[in-house]
Parts: sequence; C-alpha cells; structure tokens
Amino acid sequence: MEKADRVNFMKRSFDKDDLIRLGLMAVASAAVVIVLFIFAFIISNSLDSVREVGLWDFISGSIWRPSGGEFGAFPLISGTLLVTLGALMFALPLGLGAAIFISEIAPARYRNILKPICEVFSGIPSVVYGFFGLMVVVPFILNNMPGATQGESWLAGSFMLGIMALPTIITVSEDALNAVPRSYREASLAMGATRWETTIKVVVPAAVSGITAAIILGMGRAIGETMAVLMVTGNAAIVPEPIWNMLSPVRTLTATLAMEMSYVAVGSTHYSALFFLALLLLFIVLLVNFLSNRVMRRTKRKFGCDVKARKKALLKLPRSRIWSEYSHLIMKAVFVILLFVALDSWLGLLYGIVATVAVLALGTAYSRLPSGNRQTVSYFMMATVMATVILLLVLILGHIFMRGLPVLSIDFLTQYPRNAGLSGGIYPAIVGTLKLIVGTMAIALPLGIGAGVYLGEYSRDSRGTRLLRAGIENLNGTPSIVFGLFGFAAFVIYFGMGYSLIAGCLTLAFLILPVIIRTTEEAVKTVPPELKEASLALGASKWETVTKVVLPTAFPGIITGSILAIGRAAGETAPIMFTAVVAYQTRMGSSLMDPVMALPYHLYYLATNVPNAQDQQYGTAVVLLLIVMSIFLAASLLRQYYSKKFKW
Amino acid sequence: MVNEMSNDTLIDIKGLNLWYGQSQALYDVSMPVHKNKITALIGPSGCGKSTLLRTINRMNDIIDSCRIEGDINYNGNNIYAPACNVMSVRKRIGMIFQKPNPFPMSIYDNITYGPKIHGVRKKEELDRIVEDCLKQAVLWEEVKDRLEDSAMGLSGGQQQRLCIARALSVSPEVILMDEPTSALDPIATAKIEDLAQQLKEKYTVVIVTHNMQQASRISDYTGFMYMGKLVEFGETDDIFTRPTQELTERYITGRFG
Ligand SMILES: Nc1ncnc2c1ncn2[C@@H]1O[C@H](COP(=O)(O)OP(=O)(O)OP(=O)(O)O)[C@@H](O)[C@H]1O
Ligand SMILES: [Mg+2]
Repeated sequence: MEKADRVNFMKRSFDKDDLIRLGLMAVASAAVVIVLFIFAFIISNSLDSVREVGLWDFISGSIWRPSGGEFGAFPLISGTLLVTLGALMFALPLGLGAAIFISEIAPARYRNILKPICEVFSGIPSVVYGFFGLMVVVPFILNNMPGATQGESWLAGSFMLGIMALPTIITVSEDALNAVPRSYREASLAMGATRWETTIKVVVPAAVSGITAAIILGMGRAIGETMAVLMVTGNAAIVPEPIWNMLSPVRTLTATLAMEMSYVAVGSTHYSALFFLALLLLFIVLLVNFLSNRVMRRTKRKFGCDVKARKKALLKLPRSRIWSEYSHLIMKAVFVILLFVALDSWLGLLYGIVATVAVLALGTAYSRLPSGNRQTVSYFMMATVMATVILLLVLILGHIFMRGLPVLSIDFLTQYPRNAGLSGGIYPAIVGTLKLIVGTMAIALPLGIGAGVYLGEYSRDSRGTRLLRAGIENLNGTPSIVFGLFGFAAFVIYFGMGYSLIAGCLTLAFLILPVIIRTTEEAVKTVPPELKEASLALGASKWETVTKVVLPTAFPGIITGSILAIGRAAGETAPIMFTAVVAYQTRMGSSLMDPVMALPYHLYYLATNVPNAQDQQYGTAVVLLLIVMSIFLAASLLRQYYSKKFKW
Repeated sequence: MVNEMSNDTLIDIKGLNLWYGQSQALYDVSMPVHKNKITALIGPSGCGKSTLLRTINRMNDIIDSCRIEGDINYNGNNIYAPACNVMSVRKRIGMIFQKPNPFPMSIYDNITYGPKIHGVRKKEELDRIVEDCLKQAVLWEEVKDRLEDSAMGLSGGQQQRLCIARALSVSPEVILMDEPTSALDPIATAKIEDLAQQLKEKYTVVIVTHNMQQASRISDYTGFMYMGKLVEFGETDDIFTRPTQELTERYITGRFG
C-alpha cells in the first residue's frame, strides 16, 4: 500500500523536453551551417579567378577592366577605404559632438527626445540616402565646389556615408559616455572643475574605448554600404589623382558587385573575380568587427570590479614623464602640419597659410579664455553640432516629402507603371515589397526565435555555443550586398530557383536572422530568474516554463526586435537586386517562383535609368519611407505600450 | 563667549530650505561651521545629512530637480548670490565622498587633475603638489614608488586617502566628508580618523557620519538632524553628555524609533 503511493523520483526517460531541446538546438545550429555555407560558397566561387590572375596581382593590380580580362582590384580597395575615411571626417566631429551634447549637456528631458531622433537616421533605407545624394548633394557639389567637373564623386559618397554612420556613432558613444560612473563627475566638479572640463578631461577619457568601438562600428557600416555609394560616387575604377582629391570619382568594392553582378556570365572568370571581391569585403568587415568587439570587451572590463583588470584598463596617459612633457608639443606640431597640408591642398598656398594661421589664432584665443567662458563657447559649439545633425535629418526627410507627397494619389498607388516607369503607378512594387516582407517573416521568425530561445534558455557556455555565437555575430556584420551575392549563387543558380520571390525572401531572411536571434536571446535572458524558479518549483517542466512563463514575459522584447529587423529588410535593395526583383512588370506573377517588383529597387531603377521620371521617383521614395517608418513607429509604440504595462 | 564664537565662524548657514522636486528635504536649517574645527553631522538615514553637506559647496546644483531657499555665508559672502562663481566656491570647499572615487588614471594624474584645471602648468610645481598632498594624506610612503600606476589598483582605504589628497591638491579651506569611512575596514577607518584630526590644524572639516563613536571621538561640534530639520547643534561634549532635546538623547543612546 505504502509502496504503491511512493512516487518514483528516479524515473527519467527520453521525454518531450529532450526532444524539444534537440529540435531547438538543430535550429540554432542551422545558423552556423548558414554561415559556413555562405563562406564556402563565396570562397569556392572565387578560387578560379585567384588561380587565373594570381593573388598578389589581383590585390595590387591597378586596372579593373573585366571586359579586357584585367582584374586589378587595387582601385576598388582604395576606393572603399578612401570613401570610408572621408565619411569618418564628417561623421566623427558630428557624431561625437552630438553624443556629448545629448549625454553631458542637454537636460534629461531632452535626452529622451534627441536620441530617438538620431535613430531615425538609421531607419531611412540606403537607397533613399542614395537618391537624396543624387538629387541634392551631387548637383550641389557640381555647382559650388571650385574645380568640380562632375558631382558624382568621392566627396559625395563620403558625405552620404558619413550621415549614414551617424546614428551608430551617436548612440554607441552616448551609451559609453552615459556609462561613466557619476562618482567621477562628482569628484571632478567638487574640485572646482567646470562641467565642460569634467566632460573633456574625465568623462570622455573614461569612455574612450566605448567611443572607439562606436567609431569602428560606424566604419564597418560605411564599408559595407552599397546603394548610397553606388548612386553618388561616379563609379570610375581609379585612384584619385592626387590622392586627396575628393572631387574625383571613385568606385568601391560594394558598388562593383552591385553593378557587375547583373550582367556577368555565370561561371566566367569575371564571375569568380566578383566573388573574390566579396571575399575581400567580408575580410575587411570581419576585421573591423573583430576590432570593435575587442575594444568593447575592454570597456566592460574597465567598469567591472576586478582590480587586476581595472589596473590594465588604466586610462593610458603617456607612460614616461619625459614623454608626457613633450607629447603635447609633438601632438600640436603634428596637428599644425596636417592642418596646413589639408587647408593648403584645398585652398592653395596663400589662402592655405592664411587659413591655418586663422585656425591657430582661434584655437589659442579659445584656450586663453577663462574657464567659464570656454565652457560657454564649447557648449555653443556642441549645440551647433547637434542642431546641424537635426537639420540634416529635416533636410533629407523634408526634401523628399515635399517633392513626393504631392505625387501620391489613388492612381499612383493602384496602377501599373507605364512607359518604362515614366508614368503610371507603382502598384506592383508596393505589393511586391509587402510579399517580400511577409515571406521573409515566415522564414526568419520561427528560425530566429527558435535559435534565440535555445541560446538563451538551453545552451551552456560550451565550445559549441561559443562557435554558434561567433557565427551569428559575424553574420550580423556581413554587408547586405554579400548576402545578395550569396543568394544569387546559392538560390538563383545552384538551387535553380531563378529570380523569384522565394529566393528574395530566403536571402532577406538570412540577412535578418542574426538580429532576431540576438534580440530573442537578450529578451529571454532578461526574464527574472525568480519567475522561472517559481514555475519550476511548482513542478512545471522546462518546456512548460519556457512557453508559459519565459516567452510571454519576453514577448515584448522579441516582437519589437523582430519588427525592427523586418523594417530593415523592407528597405534593403542590395540583397534582392539579383535574387528576386525585376525593374518592370505589367502583370504580377502569382507563384513563389515568379519574380516581383519592389519599392527600393524600383526607386534605384527610376533614379538611375529614367531621369525624366522625377515625380515617379519622389513618389516611390515617399511610399518606401512611409512603409519603413510606419514599421519602425509600430515597433516603438509597441515598446512603449509594453514598458508601461509590465514593470519590474 | 558669543563674540568669540561668531568670530571664528567660517561658514554660516541661515534659514536653508531645500526641495527635490515637490518634496522638501531640508527645513529651515541654520548652523555655523567653525574655523579649524571638525563639525560632525549625525542623524538617521534619509534625514538630509548628505543633502545639507552638499549645499555647502553647491554640489546640489548638478541635480536638476533641486531648489534652494536661504543663505550660506562663507567668509561673509553669500555663496548662493547670483554673482557667486560656483567653480571657485568648490575650489575653496573640497569634498570627499562615501565611496572612494579615484579617476581611472594614474595616482599622479589623479592629484594633478585639480591644479591643472586651475591653471598650474609647471612640472616642478605639480611634482611638489603631488608630494605635499600625499604626505598630508599620509599616503606618500606607500605610493611614492608607483605614482604612475593606476589609482584603481590601490586598496579601498588607500583610495580614500588618495581622494583626500586629491581634494587637498587645490588648497581648499574647507573639506566636506560624506561618510568617508563607511566603505572601509576598522584599520583604514582609524587612519582616516587620525588624518581628519591632523587636517584640522590647516583646514576646516565637516563630516557626515553614521557612527556615533566616530562623531564623539573626532569632532568638536555636532549637529543632530532628523527628518530634514536640524534638531540640535552644539559642542560635541554637550551634545553627547547633556543633550537638550529628548529626540537627540534617544538617538545617541540608541533608543530610537
Ligand atoms: N537626487 C535626489 N532626488 C530626489 N530626492 C533625493 C535626492 N537625494 C536625496 N533625496 C531625498 O532627500 C532626503 C534626504 O536625503 P540624504 O541623502 O540627504 O539623506 P542622508 O541623511 O544623507 O541619508 P544617509 O544616511 O542614508 O546617507 C531623502 O528623503 C532622499 O530620498
Ligand atoms: Mg548620505
């Protein structure tokens, strides 16, 4: 009697929980397989051309002329690096200034408005940036820069990329500044330092590794960017002459891929060479990501409490005292020389000297100011920077909406294009974009959420999981054009899907998968352990706990993260331009295997091929912006709604 | 007697009211701080000791929601007068915080930070200040061979003495200490207490403490605060032996609440 009542605690068979764990693990491993797949595809496809041209000749050759069989990638590599460096020239002062303004100067209540405003920049699709650059920046350069023979130039590309790198630089540096302990600030203020002195001498140095990471991340974004540079840099595969001539056209790796993938003969040396370019690009971007991760890790260590680590993280002021005495002078001399060279090459010798002297005089006057006035001047400068950033945003959005909104009409939204896009509407492009969104969600959400739950709830910190995380991390930094290339080689050609909706959805899904995995994992991890324990203590199984406690609690985080990812996918051009889209359709296909039209590509097509269709261009840009922005708006409203509803 | 007292009054707090947003944290506080003496502020948690202390060098200015009424006269000048230069007030009235908060820089750079801000450039002068302040803070012998090391590598007690040296580096007249020993072990605490005793020869010290023995051991004057009001203020001996208020007596004898 007694015996029968006793529960058998030892019973442990292969039950549902194990099955689920294995299932999720399989899903998560798929992410790694995908990364390997992408790499394998790109590497294997690029081998032919390397064998034919030779690695060194390929990288160092100075002529890129595929039609003549000349594959010298040096101008493309230098183009990519130059455009990125130029972008930093714009983005660095603006981004840092704005971050300092938001974190250190603006009153708290403005901070919560300013940061989201800066994030709007990252919601604008890159083809829209490219379009703005083409319509506004390029003509501006042509008409206003002395010596400009064409507006499409390195300068235009760097300017657009600089704007696009802004949100990354601003938000990441602002976070770093914000993370500096309040006690540092108090200690400095209590000694009679002004707030500005505190910012410059304590807060910024303490946040320097976070800021560095921000800059590197922004750079990574700029290197991998395709559409904006493609549309405004002129795309001549040359090294600027002289090397600092920003008015020269240049061509980046990404732009080369975007232009030549569309007509290259599959299997040719040229085809293989393009994959090698992608490999180069991937290599540069992964290197950049690796660097920023390392720097970030150092930041985390700095504010941890491990004394040894803290010692290592000492703000590196010059080590030897002798050096510290002269370092100032040396830095000043280097600065003056650089300034002189820069101003000289831009303005000519005489004006260059005048300008250099003027800058130095201003600098000296500034440093002679009493500290209170210096603070006022500095605050004014930071506020100007912030205002410039906001003005840029208003300018871009304002320009497009002012020209595009009047174009919108029922006909424009519901009719097929006519006359190669010169007239008619954009109905198939809207529907195509929506189809792509739905298809992408259908693939990416189950995979991504499954993998995220596995990583957050089931995985232990083993070799395998670390590999998994590294894979996802790298997938996350991969330029979208590389996904496009991969999608073309894998889905369109290898699996024989052709240009089709399904190939586009798969490619976009791969693109956003890492983001969804990451947000899911993070959301799952923020669920308080007490809740899980409470459920487990009631005898619920792991899976029951996950579905009944963890997922509902993590839902807001997962859903907003996923919506943001979808918003990004909706505005992408590069991944779909040679997997799914056609420029012109007079009737829509109905199956998954049919190609579609899509708004981003339609805008690109109109802007570069149908110059007289200005109304259509602006109209398309506005519709694309409206769709993408309403997706982002939905995400942020949801987030607000949930954060009010649940509070821990 | 009265005359003598007011003569050596360095800081005179008069009718101070303070609000954080809507809620009032200080009610009509009036209190003198005597020159070259140690004044202790005691009272239960949340009664406003830190708040009062921070009004003396205007550190509350950095809290957006904070609003102040009343005067604090320092050497006869109202530091809340509109024309008053906050930076020079803070230079004259230094502060030590509850948790040691050295900058993540070298020991040397921590101490030269303030002088550099206030315009000292010469290397010899800076070296002299570093040595002088570290000696005053009784830290010199322990760190003189590793001035270029990170201040984060010091022990908690050493860090706190470094913070004191750092506060001394700009030659203040007054040093405010907010529970400077609450994060330290008994030995480090004893060192800081000794140090406070030595400091009062050259400086005026105001110290907030939770530790009644500490207050009675080291201070000359004591103020007892309760719920934002200064209940009683007087010479430390008087406060601890013959308090005039019942509340004070209950607090110092531990029969509180
Ligand atoms: N920055 C602030 N914003 C709003 N209220 C504050 C702020 N700082 C303190 N207060 C409030 O003011 C009152 C007094 O706080 P204060 O820190 O001065 O107390 P305290 O006596 O130093 O306490 P403790 O002994 O715990 O340090 C408390 O009710 C506290 O909640
Ligand atoms: Mg306190």
